[in-house]
Amino acid sequence: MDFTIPEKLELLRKSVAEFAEREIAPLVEDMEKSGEFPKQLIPKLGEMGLLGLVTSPDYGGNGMGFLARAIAIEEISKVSAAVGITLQVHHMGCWPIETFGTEEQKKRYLPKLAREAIGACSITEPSGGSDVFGMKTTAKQEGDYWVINGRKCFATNSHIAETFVIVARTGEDAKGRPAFSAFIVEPDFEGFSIGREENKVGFRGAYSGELIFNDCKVPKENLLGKEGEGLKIALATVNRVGRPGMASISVGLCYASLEEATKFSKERVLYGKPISNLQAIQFLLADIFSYAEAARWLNYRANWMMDQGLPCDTEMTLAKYVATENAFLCARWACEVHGGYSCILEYPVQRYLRDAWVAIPSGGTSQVAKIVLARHVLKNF
Amino acid sequence: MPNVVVCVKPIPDPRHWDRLFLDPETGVLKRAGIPPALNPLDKNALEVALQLKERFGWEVTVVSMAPPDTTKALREALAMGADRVYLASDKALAGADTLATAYTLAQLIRKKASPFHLVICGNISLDGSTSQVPAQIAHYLGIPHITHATHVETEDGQLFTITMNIKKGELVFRCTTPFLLAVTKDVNLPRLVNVMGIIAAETKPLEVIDARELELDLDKVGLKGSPTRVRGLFIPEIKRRREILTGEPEEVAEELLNKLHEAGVL
Ligand SMILES: Cc1cc2nc3c(=O)[nH]c(=O)nc-3n(C[C@H](O)[C@H](O)[C@H](O)COP(=O)(O)OP(=O)(O)OC[C@H]3O[C@@H](n4cnc5c(N)ncnc54)[C@H](O)[C@@H]3O)c2cc1C
Ligand SMILES: Cc1cc2nc3c(=O)[nH]c(=O)nc-3n(C[C@H](O)[C@H](O)[C@H](O)COP(=O)(O)OP(=O)(O)OC[C@H]3O[C@@H](n4cnc5c(N)ncnc54)[C@H](O)[C@@H]3O)c2cc1C
Repeated sequence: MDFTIPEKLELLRKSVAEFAEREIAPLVEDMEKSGEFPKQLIPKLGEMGLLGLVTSPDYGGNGMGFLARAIAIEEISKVSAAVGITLQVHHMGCWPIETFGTEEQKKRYLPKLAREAIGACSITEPSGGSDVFGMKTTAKQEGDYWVINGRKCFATNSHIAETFVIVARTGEDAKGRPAFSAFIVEPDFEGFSIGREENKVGFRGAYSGELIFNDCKVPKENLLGKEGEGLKIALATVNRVGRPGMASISVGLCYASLEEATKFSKERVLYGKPISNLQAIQFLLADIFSYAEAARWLNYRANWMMDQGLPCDTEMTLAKYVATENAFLCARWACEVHGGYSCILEYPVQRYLRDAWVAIPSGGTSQVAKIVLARHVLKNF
Repeated sequence: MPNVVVCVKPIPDPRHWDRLFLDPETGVLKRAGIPPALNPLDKNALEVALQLKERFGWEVTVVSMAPPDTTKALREALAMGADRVYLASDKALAGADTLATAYTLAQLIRKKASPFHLVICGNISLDGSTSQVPAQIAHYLGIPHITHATHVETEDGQLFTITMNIKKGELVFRCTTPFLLAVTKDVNLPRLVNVMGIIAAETKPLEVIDARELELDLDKVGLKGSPTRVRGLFIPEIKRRREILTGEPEEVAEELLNKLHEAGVL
């Protein structure tokens, strides 16, 4: 067993950290205030090679892989978790096209997504987040088109994506259960529109909006995978791309909390000494550090397994569950170290806490993760 | 292929300088466990070279003298866009002062990176900070040098116009290749390393070369070839001083201003 991070990934970490410091840090305050994503950042994410991280070189990406992606999203999210989720859901819009798409679909969409366009993957509906079978959006085949009707919510990148992977109900399977299919939708397809944008407590600057399908005409060649494979595609994308993405963002938040808490504790002087001399404060730092490391290494293992082509759905869920919950705890502890200053917007720890809160339901709630993990436990132990 | 040579020095990563310490007994700088990083100004030097590469199709060769475990830092120069790295590394080279360093680097350039149009250095290293090496390299190579460059311009890649900031203005030089240039941070903003660069760097040549292959005069390298003797090293004591100025606010302000000028902080 070798836990050494390869040299090229260390260089990636350093480079992405420099990028985040130079290009993203100056934008954060505006994103927090306005809730808008700075569009000028998109081509820069492309030039850095971050949009194409999980797309293979055959389709214009760099195929650096999932461990690389975990490290990159971690470093971005230390500076802005909102840019982290934008990037991670973008990858959720790329991966299913490469994994389940036809050659034409890959050639049509992936090179642009790897360079300059943002993708999205939208499954959740008002009637069904945890309950995927509750999805009500329908698609019916009419001639050369699929006609889609319904409404998606919580779609990350709703207002900036140029490609949406979506799932809709297309009938019933042999056992009479609803059957779903996946589609690739472009924003200018007839009958498609973007609805409201949610005003969130965290991930401010990352869009979460509604997608509205009103007799939306999707060319039949935009069916992704086979008819009836929609749920499989959705779950694979959420499990293998979405969950490690949320885990990576959360690991970034854990370390951001650790750095801010440590810095503050060395600077804040009480009773004539920095509060880092107080054991109660030291214990908080020790806890943040422990929870951060645990989250990071569960996430690295899961992503490493993905790169090796090993089955890793359980490990991805485990990483996501632990990392998001830990990020919330780490941010809370970092706030404690800051005392009253944690409530002041100039200090970033309050933002980490808000972002960590929002990370918990994104990509599936903790309860849903525990259902998956308990199923694994009962089967294997 | 015309060649531009960049001298890049790996230094202990400044982000970890809180872990550096000077052994008061031996005067040796303890840097164990601190990862290497590129001297910041050498990235500016590399950026000048990479822009010339983009305009004129030149090749960019990085030369360095450092211990062998610095290759991972030098990989970053390749990821930025340099074509190859030659690293002179040998026990015989340890303990070099600026003269021995410059001699070794000049020999490395002669052996591996000639002919060249231009040699570009950072103006000063963040660790040794003597600022002597660039001019000394130029001396050994027998070419002119321009240091403290804040602006570099050329139309044709042969005639260069170089601006140097001096205390009360600017000096502008015109110089034809080959020459040595040492740049300050004002010259440009070095590009960020991107993922494609990191992947490309994996297969670019990074060659470690020993003293024998460089055919160095062993009396001129390392500690043995270093005429500089360090007489003593100390950590400067930083003390707070307090002085209370009294009088009319305007007079006090005037006096304060004078004192700050005298102290050299304004
Ligand atoms: C910032 C953000 C971004 C998002 N981005 C996307 C996106 O890009 N694409 C997308 O498709 N979705 C996205 N989502 C939606 C996200 O996946 C859902 O919010 C999540 O799946 C939970 O669904 P829900 O909000 O409808 O909660 P519900 O499913 O209504 O859950 C309510 C409560 O019931 C609990 N619960 C539900 N089922 C069970 C059960 N069987 N046993 C025990 N408890 C249960 C839940 O844990 C929760 O506590 C995003 C969400 C957020 C907050
Ligand atoms: C604490 C300390 C004290 C020292 N004291 C002395 C001293 O008093 N006298 C003395 O002669 N030496 C001294 N040295 C050694 C000195 O650091 C080395 O000779 C060093 O290799 C070059 O000097 P510099 O770092 O000052 O380079 P500078 O002249 O400041 O460097 C300018 C540029 O030259 C190039 N360059 C310099 N070194 C290299 C290299 N090794 N490889 C590639 N390019 C390079 C780079 O482009 C760099 O930006 C000291 C070192 C330390 C750490």
